[in-house]
Amino acid sequence: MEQINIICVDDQQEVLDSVLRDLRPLTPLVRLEEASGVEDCLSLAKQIDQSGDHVAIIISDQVMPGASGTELLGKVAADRRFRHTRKVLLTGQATHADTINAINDGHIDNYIEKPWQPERILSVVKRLLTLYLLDSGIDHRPYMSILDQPTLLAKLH
Amino acid sequence: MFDELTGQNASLQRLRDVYFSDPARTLHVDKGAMVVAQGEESHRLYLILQGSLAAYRHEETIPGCGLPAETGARTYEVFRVEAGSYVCVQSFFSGAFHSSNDIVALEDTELAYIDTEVQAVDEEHYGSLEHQFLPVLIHELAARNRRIFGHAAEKEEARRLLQRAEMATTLSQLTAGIAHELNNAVGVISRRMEFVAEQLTYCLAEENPLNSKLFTLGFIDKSFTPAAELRQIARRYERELGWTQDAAKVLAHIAPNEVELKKLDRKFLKNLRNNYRFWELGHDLRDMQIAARHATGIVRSVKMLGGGNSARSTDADVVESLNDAMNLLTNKLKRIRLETDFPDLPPITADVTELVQVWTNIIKNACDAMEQGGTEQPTLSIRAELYHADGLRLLPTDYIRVSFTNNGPTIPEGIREKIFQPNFTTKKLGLDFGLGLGLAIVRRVIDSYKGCIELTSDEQATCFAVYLPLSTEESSAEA
Repeated sequence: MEQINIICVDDQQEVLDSVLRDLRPLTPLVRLEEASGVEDCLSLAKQIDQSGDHVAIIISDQVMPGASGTELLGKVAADRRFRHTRKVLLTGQATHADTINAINDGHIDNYIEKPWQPERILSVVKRLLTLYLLDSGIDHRPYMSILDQPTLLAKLH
Repeated sequence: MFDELTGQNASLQRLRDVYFSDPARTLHVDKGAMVVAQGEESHRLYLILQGSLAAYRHEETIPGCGLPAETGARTYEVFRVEAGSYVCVQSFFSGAFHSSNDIVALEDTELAYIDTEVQAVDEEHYGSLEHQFLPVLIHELAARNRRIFGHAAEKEEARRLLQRAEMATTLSQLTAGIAHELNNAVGVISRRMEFVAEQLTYCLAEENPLNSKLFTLGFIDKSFTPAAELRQIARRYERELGWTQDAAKVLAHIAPNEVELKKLDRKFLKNLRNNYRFWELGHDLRDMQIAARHATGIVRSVKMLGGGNSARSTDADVVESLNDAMNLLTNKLKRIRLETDFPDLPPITADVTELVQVWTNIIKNACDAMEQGGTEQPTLSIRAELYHADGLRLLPTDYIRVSFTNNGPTIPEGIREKIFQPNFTTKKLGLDFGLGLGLAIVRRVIDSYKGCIELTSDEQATCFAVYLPLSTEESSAEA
C-alpha cells in the first residue's frame, strides 16, 4: 500500500519536534516527515513522489532562513504532482503582507497561529487528510480511525 | 540693512530723510537700558538708526487666576529688531499711546523719533501722515505675521519632541515591567524543570537502570550532527534494522554513525527499541531548559535596551554585548547568513546597555538594507579584534575594533555623512518597531566613548567599523 506522508517544516528543531509529537496519534497509518527548510522540504516531497507515495499535507513555518513558508507553499501549489496536497501555515509572526501572499500565492488551506493548541492542529490535519484522500481517489477505509467524520459524510453524500 | 531697505522701497527712504533726520529728535540708549516699559505712556514712533532692540512682555496677571502679577511673573521675548526698523508702530498709529512691551537696548543704540507734535510734510503731494506711513505699517504687519508663523512652527516642533520623549519613556517603562514579569515566570519554569529532571532521574534509576540511562542520554543530548544528516541516518536505521520511525530517530541521536552503533550492547538496544520514549522524555526536558534559557537571555537583553542600569563599569565585555544584540535580533538574522569571529578580548570601560544599543542599530540597519535592496545571499559578517593605532599623540592608541560587513547595496557617497544625522532615513514605511533611534544614536554613543565609526561602501561590501578605546583618560583617572 502506498504511504501517506505529512511533512512538517520548521528551522527550529524543538518546534518541529513539538509539532511531530502532537501529530503522533496519526501514526503509523500515516508517516510524519520533517524538513528544516524550503529546499529540504521540496527535495523530500519529490523523493516521496518518485517512490510512488503521497504528500498529503505540508505544514510549514513562515520565517525561515533562505525562503519563507509562503514561497514554499506557492511552489508546491504550482507543481502538478502536488495538486491535491493540502497546505498549512503555522506561524507566530506573519505580517499582513505575508498573510495576503499566503492566501493568494500559497493557496493555503489553513492558518494556525503559534503557540498552537494540540487538539486544533490535530483536528485541522484530520480534516485536510480526509479531503486529500477523497480528492486523490485513495480508498479511505483503512484510514477511518484518523479521518474527520463530518467531512467524510458531507463529501460522500 | 538701510541700503537694502532703500532698494526695496524709495518711500521708506523718503520717510527717513524727511522725518527722522532732525538731531533734536534723536536719542542715545545705553546697552541694557529701557526705551519704554510695558504699559507706559508713549507718544513716539522710533526708528533705529544704529544698534538693536528687544521687546519683552510679562504677564500682568498671574496666568489662570486673574490676580495681578508681582515680581517674578513670567517674562518672554516677543521680538528683536535691528537698525532700519520702526518700534512702537502700533502704539503710535492706533492712538493707544501705551507701549505693549518693554523695549530694551541690546547694545548701545541710536534712535530717531517723531511724536504727535510732528506735522505731515508736503501733505498736498504725499497725503496725511498716516497715509505717508502706510509702507511702514504694511511692513510691520508682515513682520508680525512672520513672527506668528515662526512661533507656531516652533510650538509644533516642541510639541512633537515632547510627544516623542513621552512615548519613549512609556515604552521603556512598559518594557521594564514586562521584562520583570517574564523574568519571574521564566525563572519558575527554569528552576522547576531542573527539579523535575532530578526527581525523574532518581525514580527511574530505582525502577529500571536501562530506562534511566535512556532518560539521561536524552536529557544531556549534545549531538552536533546537523538535523538533515540525523534524518538520513534515522531513515537508514529504520530500513536496515526494521525499527519504527520514532525509535530509529532516537537511535540516530545516540549513535549517529557505525562506530557509535557498535559500542551499544544488545540488551541496551533491545530496551531502546521498545522504550525510546524515556529518551524522548529526557530530551523534552532538555528542550524546555534550552527554551527557558533562551527566554532569560532575551529578557535580559530587552532590559538592557530599556536602559536598566546605565552606569559604565570597568569590566564591560564587548563580545557579550554583541551576543546580547544578536539575541534581540534573532528573527531578523534568520533571513541572512551570519558569520562571527569573536576572539577573547580584554574588558573595556563601558556601559553594556549602550553597546547593545549601538550593535542593535548597526545590525538592524544592515539587515534592512539587504532586505530592501533585494540582496542575493545576504550575508553579515561581524568581527571583533584588537586594533593598535599610532601616530596621533592626542588620541588613545589601543582600541577594540568591531566591524559589521554586509554585501548589501552600496551607500552613495552623497549620503554617507547624512545617515548619521537624526531623522535621516532611506527606509520605506512599514510595520516595524525600531529598537533604537538609528545611526544618530550610534554616533552619539561612540563619540561619548572617544571612539570613532568608519564607513566604507562599494559594490562588494558595506562596512561599519566601530573603534572603542581600551582605556580613556577619564577611566584611568577614575581607576
